[in-house]
Amino acid sequence: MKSRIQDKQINNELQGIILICFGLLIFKLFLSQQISLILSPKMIPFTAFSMIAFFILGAYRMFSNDSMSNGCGCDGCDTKSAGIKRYLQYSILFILPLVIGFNLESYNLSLDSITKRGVSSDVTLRSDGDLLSEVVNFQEKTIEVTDSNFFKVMQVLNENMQEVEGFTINMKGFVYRDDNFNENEAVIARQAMSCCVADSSVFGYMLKGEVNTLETGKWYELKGRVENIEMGDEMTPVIKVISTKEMKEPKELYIYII
Amino acid sequence: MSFSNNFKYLLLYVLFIWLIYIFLFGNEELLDSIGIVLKYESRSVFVIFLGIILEAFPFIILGVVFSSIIQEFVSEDMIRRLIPKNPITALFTALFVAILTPVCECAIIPVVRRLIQKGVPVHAGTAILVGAPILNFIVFSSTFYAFQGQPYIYIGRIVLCIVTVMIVGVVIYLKFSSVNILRTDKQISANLKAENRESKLKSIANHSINEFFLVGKYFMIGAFFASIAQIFINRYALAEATSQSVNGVVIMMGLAFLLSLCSEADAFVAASFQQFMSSVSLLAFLVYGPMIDLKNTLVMIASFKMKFVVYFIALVTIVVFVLSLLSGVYLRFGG
Repeated sequence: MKSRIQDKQINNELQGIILICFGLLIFKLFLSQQISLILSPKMIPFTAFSMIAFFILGAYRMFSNDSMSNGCGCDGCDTKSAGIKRYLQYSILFILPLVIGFNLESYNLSLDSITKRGVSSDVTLRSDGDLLSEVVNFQEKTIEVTDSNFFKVMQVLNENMQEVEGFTINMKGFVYRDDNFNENEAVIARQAMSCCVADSSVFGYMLKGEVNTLETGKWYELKGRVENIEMGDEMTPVIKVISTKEMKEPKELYIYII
Repeated sequence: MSFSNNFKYLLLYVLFIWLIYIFLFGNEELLDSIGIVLKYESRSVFVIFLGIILEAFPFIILGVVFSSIIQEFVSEDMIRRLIPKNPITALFTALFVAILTPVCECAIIPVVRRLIQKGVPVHAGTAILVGAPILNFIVFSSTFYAFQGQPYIYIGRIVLCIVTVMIVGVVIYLKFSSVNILRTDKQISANLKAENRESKLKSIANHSINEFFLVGKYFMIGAFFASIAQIFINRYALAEATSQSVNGVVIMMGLAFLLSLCSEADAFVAASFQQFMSSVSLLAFLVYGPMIDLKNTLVMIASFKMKFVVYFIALVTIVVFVLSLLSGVYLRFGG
């Protein structure tokens, strides 16, 4: 009987350690700012809440030693698998992700897996007000694409093409190609997420002109001219390349949707 | 005996100290040295996995804490008084509760399980399970934002969800109203509660942690499979391969199941499919995904009897499939 209680006590402490470590993992991701590659800013308050909850619950479970608590008054507890089997489960399901998370230094998705997510160029998100004058500089006939107006520009290019055709566009992005592309085809793209990296997608524009020197996956500052061409059976905005300059991968890898 | 327990304690503290050490000084060489090499795809799988679990943790914690609060403070009598006797009225009450609870599909399961345990009719509980993830303002506004000017999608999502709740509720009422669908029986909790003398706060904390690990085990497995699907499925190749609406609906429902997106975020993913897929199949994706996906299927298995889970999934799948096709017919001829 005594050893059974002790056994539960050990199990409790293991659970406490796991909870605290999940809190620490979130804390580490905050410190290293890698969290921005995993979650969008609007999720951060929730994640901060879960971090604090993990610390409190973990410390409570680790240091409370009333054996009744382990008796598990409700049926929502985990008593079916006992002993060694449970330790094995916990090790694989909880501790392994913690170990990897504590050690991993880069949270970028690989180029291959980004490619499998496909690329899209006609997403229209609702935004109020006069978009045209907001994103287009009519005096200089230029469009400056930033992280915050990326989707507004995309909406303008899809809906008001006739008014901006021929304008100069400046944007940053990485060069995207998938298996169906030939050498002279490429897309200048950005990754965007709305809540977390699991819902991230790739958005971008087809490029025309001298693109075979552009390396897939590399980041470029691009200057080009907006054109409208027929692809399949509909008109699609493309960018005719004027000049490109290689750049370092930016810290803000993602564009966050709202 | 006590020697082996001392040994276990020792191991436990070594583990804890080592975890703290890698929290402070962890790096990838260390990871290599213990034999875990994450390159390319496997790294991406882990990143997605981390994304899925970190996104869901706050809501799972809220779900298990809320479930424990119900366990402590809501008595069977209260439920009996609050839930209408008439099964149809009960269904509408459940629909109303679903609108009031803005939580995602994983977090709602422990709550519904607890409600059923406390005496809420099974069909009403199921209605909450189906309705809560879609029927709330956050999901509506993100769908509206992503599909501006396409009321067929953002209104359709709500309408289809409500109709699904009603049909599933009625069928579950006919089939399971007098069956215990929970994985463990009610008796245990009633007995143990009587001898439970600890303070309410402690008791809530204990319940919450126990339930977190119960749900968490299955959730981790589900999140892992979902992240594999996320990385290895070439979704656009899949989408481009189909043009017929029936195939499209099947494929998009399958994708919704595998990708396991949160209901708040899936509208944007659906929006990026627009150029390949018909509206009908996008609608099926948006209605089906929040109700059933890989990760919440595993969490359901942790909470309900297998027979119920299989029946429930089959039922929801058929209902959403048929409704989506019907909405397509409506779109073509009526709307």
